[in-house]
Amino acid sequence: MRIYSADHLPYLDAAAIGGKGMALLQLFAAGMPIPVPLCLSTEAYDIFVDDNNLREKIGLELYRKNLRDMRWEEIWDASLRIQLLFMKGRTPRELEQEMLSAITEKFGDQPLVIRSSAPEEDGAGGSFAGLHESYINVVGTDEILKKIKKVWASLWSDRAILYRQELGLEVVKSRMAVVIQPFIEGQVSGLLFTRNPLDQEQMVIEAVHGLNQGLVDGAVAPDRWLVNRANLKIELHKSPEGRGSWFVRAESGGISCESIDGDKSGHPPLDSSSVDEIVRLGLRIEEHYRSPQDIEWTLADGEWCILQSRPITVGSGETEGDKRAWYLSLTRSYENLQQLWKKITDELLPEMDKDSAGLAAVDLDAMTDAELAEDLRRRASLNEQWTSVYWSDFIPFAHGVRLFGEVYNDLVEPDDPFEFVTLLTGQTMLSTERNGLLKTCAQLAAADDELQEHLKRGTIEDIGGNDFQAAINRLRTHFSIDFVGVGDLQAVDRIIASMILQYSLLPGDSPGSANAERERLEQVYFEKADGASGLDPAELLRMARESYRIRDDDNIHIGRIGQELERASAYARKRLRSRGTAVLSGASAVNLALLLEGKAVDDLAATPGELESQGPSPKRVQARQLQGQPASRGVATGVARVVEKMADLSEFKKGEILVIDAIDPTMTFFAPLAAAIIERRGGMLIHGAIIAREYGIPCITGVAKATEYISTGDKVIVDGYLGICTVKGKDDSAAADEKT
Amino acid sequence: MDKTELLMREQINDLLSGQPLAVLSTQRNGQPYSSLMAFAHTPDLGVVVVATGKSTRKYQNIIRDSRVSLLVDNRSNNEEDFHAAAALTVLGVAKNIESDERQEFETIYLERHPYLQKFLHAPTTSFIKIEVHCYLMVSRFQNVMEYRIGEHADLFS
Repeated sequence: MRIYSADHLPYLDAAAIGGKGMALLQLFAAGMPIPVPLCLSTEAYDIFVDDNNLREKIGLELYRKNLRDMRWEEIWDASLRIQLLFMKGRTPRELEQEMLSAITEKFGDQPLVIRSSAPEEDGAGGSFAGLHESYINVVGTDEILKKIKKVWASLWSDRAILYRQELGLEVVKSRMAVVIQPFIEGQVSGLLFTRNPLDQEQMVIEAVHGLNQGLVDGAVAPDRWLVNRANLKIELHKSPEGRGSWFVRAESGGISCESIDGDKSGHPPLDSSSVDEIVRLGLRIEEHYRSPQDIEWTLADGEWCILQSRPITVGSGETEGDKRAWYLSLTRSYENLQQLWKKITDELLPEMDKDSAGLAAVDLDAMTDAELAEDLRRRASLNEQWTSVYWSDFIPFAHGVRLFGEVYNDLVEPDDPFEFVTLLTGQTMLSTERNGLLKTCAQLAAADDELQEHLKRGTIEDIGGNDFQAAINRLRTHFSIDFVGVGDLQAVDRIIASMILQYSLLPGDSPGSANAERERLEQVYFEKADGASGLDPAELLRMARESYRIRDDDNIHIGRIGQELERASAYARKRLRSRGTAVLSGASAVNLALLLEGKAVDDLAATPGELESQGPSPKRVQARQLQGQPASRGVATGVARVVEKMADLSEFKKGEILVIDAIDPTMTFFAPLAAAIIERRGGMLIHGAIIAREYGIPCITGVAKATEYISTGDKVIVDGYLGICTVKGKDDSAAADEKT
Repeated sequence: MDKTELLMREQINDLLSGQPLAVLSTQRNGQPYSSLMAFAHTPDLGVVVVATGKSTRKYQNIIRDSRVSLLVDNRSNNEEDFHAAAALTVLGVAKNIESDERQEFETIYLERHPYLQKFLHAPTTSFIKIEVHCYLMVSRFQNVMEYRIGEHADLFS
């Protein structure tokens, strides 16, 4: 038997049905008003996992490299793959029948709530609240079975993996129990802390109209009451700024967030007598457990109903070092993403472009030293300001792609967990537009011998021809192609010239079959979404496409600001050096400003050791085969070009395999030239992976120490199907291989 | 010695120290031949020693072609081996033990396998050292790192 009711309490423990399951069965047995609970034990989880051979599939996914070396993006990728394995797994018939007959016997065809109850949630030294999934208003056997699988799968969400790892739990040993209860459609819902964490003499009540999901995930602001524990008198009632929306039951299953009607929005969800009732009920529960409780409740047709009760952890709120809130914040709600989208397109991008255009229009030649110093500081501060906005708003918006991926996989259950990315590709992005311009330049050069000579010498400034200069100018002004950090302008010109020459070796555009595939997948997605509960599928796809495009474009936008800072810094260095002042090429804008003002700067003297790189030590340890993530399919064999700094770019030749620490979109013009890409930074949705898929080039990401273990000139085989690169060393044996 | 090399040596030493048995591969006329062997290794990782009866097929093979390979792994014969087990392939050349080094090698061998004393000292047993040219460490299912020890030639070239 794997499904239990309160009658089985004497034989149960939290290891079998989780802490939440135990607590609910006990409360029910004690006569508290809670919806009848049934618990599906961890044994059911084990049977499902073993029957579908998932255990070692999860092990291989999570031990591909040291979990601590995986970026959050890589863990999200692994999580997406693992969760899809659960969704595509079949519940063994015997288990399915046992579950369904117990559920039907207890609940008939009532709508249900299906909730997670992980055994680790007790005594693991941290709270798992909110890390795993629960589903509300689940109707019909297919949906019930699907949602049970989804609760099991939520053990492997990115944030749950990270959090368990943080607590030092052995991740692969985790198991999950499930609680099933009838869905209670409350008209008012909320939380009750029987002790205010900030004042032990008070209780705190928060309440909203409708269901309490909005309150739990912060989407709906609650009314709040503070009640004196001794005399149960209300000491304070604070209304939210507005009661604009509420969560209600959706006809098609699940719940939805809707605007609240005028009448209700004007009234607090509880009156003083209901506040009195709920605090008395709370005290009974506290007495039952003999400890202060954090209680979720709802009020349905005048009846109080307890949804959950758990002890308030010591000191309450977050304990020191508890990163749960941070892990939870990695996932953004649809509503939150919609707001970010609007802010980014309506405010942030136009403002950023206005700032960079303003900086580009400044005539540095005409400035006095003092003016230039001031201007440098302004540029540095703008750069800092926009970098901070990039982290706070642009990076989180990238979650739009992930949210879409989760919804798509849920609806379509594809074989390839990353099939959804195809639906997002093929848009005009700044990076593909830039590569088009490079190609235009290459075509002009191909038809003009003199132009080619100039390019070979790397002197693009001297090149005549309006079309060519216009294209170069647009590349410079719009695409941050002046390579922040390269330093001198001649070096930049050499890179651009070399890149254009390499582009002239590329074949013409071939009509791809990508569009047809995209259309087919789009059709499948809309068919599956038809009638399913949840988000508007067309709007979600539109947002995901914007998220995908902006994720690539934003670096080019912010790159223009960085480029303007670099332009002024390079100019200042030149001015200072022309007067004989010693300046390091890495001197910061702020230090350059001080030097221009004639002030002393202490960190400019370079110690010899810093300037000289360590000589190559003989490598006794070499990689034969390195594992990463298969980020773009295909196989390629070629010679590696390790790019460690921007200046290495001028050496890059068409057909080489690009080995790099991390590509950002201002650098992705390499991609069409490369036979394959190997990147140390991991992720299926990082820029290198995106551009590789756009051009159909094999790509592996997340290869630990890639630039350390692979050297320029090594022969490398890139397997973009499995995410493996084989390193064959220098070309002597490779040449022999090729001949055979 | 850089950090990567030190780490690699530590991993190799841990694996060799943790396992009493290795699979030895020899060959005759292109036909590979594998045998399970007790082994011990020197602390500098330069030598692995094994003992075998002189009448055995593996010994006859070694006399004809001294190039050998050993496999040492820490599998538990469960499915988690695929992500958790490590395997070490050793490539080297088998040689006779000189009289001045015999005492040292006997000590390390008998420390690992005290029950094999009689076997080791039997006149029909040959005690062999394998000079290691190269270690290949396979971990996390598909990661392969190669460690060339000493200045030996590549046995595959």
